[in-house]
Amino acid sequence: MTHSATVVVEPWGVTIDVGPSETMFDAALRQGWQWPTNCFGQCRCTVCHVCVLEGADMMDEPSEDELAVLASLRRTLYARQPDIVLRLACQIRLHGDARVAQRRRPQPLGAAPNGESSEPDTDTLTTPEVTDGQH
Amino acid sequence: MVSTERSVTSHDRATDATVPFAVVDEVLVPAERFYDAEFFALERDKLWSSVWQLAARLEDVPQPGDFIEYVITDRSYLIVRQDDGSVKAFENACRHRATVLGTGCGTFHGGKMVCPFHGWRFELDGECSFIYSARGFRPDTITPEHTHLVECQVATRWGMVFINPDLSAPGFDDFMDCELATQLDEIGLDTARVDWWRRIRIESNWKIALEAFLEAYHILTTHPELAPGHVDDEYNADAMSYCVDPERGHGWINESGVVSELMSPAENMMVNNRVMLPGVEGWLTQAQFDTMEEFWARVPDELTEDEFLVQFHAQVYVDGEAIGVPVPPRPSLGHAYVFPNSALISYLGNTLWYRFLPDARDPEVCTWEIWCLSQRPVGEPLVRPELQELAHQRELPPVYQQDASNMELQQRGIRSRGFTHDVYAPRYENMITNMHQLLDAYLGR
Repeated sequence: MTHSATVVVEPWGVTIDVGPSETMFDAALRQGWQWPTNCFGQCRCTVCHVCVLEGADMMDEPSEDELAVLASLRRTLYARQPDIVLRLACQIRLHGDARVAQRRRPQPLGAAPNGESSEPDTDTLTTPEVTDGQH
Repeated sequence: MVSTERSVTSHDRATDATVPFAVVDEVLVPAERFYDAEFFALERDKLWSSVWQLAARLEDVPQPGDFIEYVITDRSYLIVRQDDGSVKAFENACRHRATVLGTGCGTFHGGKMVCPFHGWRFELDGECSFIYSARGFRPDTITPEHTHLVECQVATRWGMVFINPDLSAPGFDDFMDCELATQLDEIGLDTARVDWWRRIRIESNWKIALEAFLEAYHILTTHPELAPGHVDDEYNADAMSYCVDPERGHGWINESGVVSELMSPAENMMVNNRVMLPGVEGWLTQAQFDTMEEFWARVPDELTEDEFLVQFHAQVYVDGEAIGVPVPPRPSLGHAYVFPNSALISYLGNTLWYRFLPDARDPEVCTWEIWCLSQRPVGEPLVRPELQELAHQRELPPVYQQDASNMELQQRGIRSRGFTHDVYAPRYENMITNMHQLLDAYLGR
């Protein structure tokens, strides 16, 4: 995989290498992570979404379909954070490094689906500091 | 298997009395077969549900998880590339409440097909692997036999994906067990890739559209540029002989005579190629065309016409080797017919493959699709082709506009008072009559 970009997933410190012909979601699965999702990459369920902390300009422009889905997310979960930069991991294609935040801890493949691990899920909605690339 | 030139097809295929508008005299085909709603419904229930049919190109699903939807009549099928590189086909319906799982084409990421309604998940091989809140269902209703996607038979050959929804039907190799299959093996379809793929709506029954490509009898009148200056029998309709497989319905054309006393074979080929290159954008490559013109310019001073024919074709093979794009062993294939709804022509590694699809509900509407295929370097990766939907016939290459125009004119006349049947010439149109007889065999089951 030439030209792969690196995404750091906060606050977990997980690093994912994203190749030029795959989405961040596909890359996470390829590297053994069970990225949160219901729809599995169909730009629908929004569960895979991330807050972009750095490198939004390293990502291909979102499609109209993605923008529509993100708009609903913005009106609900993120109504109090109008400046936050949201993207769907299943739509992100990268040509440079980025840093994102995801509410759920990525689980290794083989664990219970979507982070429903036996440990109590204590993470709450993070409110990361947006440093650049605001939409 | 017997292939018969200019044959009268087998008479012993009993006509089932339950088939409406059945062909009784094989050269007289009842007009209602091209518009009657009951006949159309019978085709849906007895033909399309149980015949081998071209569903997709392998390029449509280049990577594991890639899918394309194949819609035929009122049915939808999913063609899905598996992790091991094979291809499976499923009835495109969630086993919960029938929602289609994929539309158009796309990719099932993470190896999961997820129903957009309630989120049931299926593996790429059709196994249902997750039912949201399964505890709410009565257990005997969600056993694997009730939740696994319903599969079709699948065969891949010539870069194509063929499916048969009928699991009890004989396999594809049996369906294609005839001389035509060998010919198709030799025209480089496996190493060909899609140059363009176009689709246009035609206001005619699918068989009327198809039949435009099952005989060359129409060339003089429909495509006058291919027979320039010829009047009537100066253009010899008997120059082609039509071969059919009476058991399977397939057909192919052999050149068996001199098409014209006014054009030499070399001149005829020049006319054909000069019309077809701009005419259909894919009959031969521009490089092959340029080579042809270079050699033709040396006639008659340096080359006789016979030498031209031999040396031009030899040069095409040499050039192909030189650039790492070999020309397949069989230089050409005239019109060929793969039952029930594909027709093709092929020349020097370039193939134009047509598929005719009935409308979901209207017997007098169909879709005509064209794949233009040419050779690529061996091992070139598959790239998903883009389907171009044409809005008007004038967007078709000129030669095809002539064919499309006839299809719709024919449909407009088909209900005329006193027009009870099409009359076919057994010498020139037996690929068509054979198709209708095979169709009745399917409908009578």
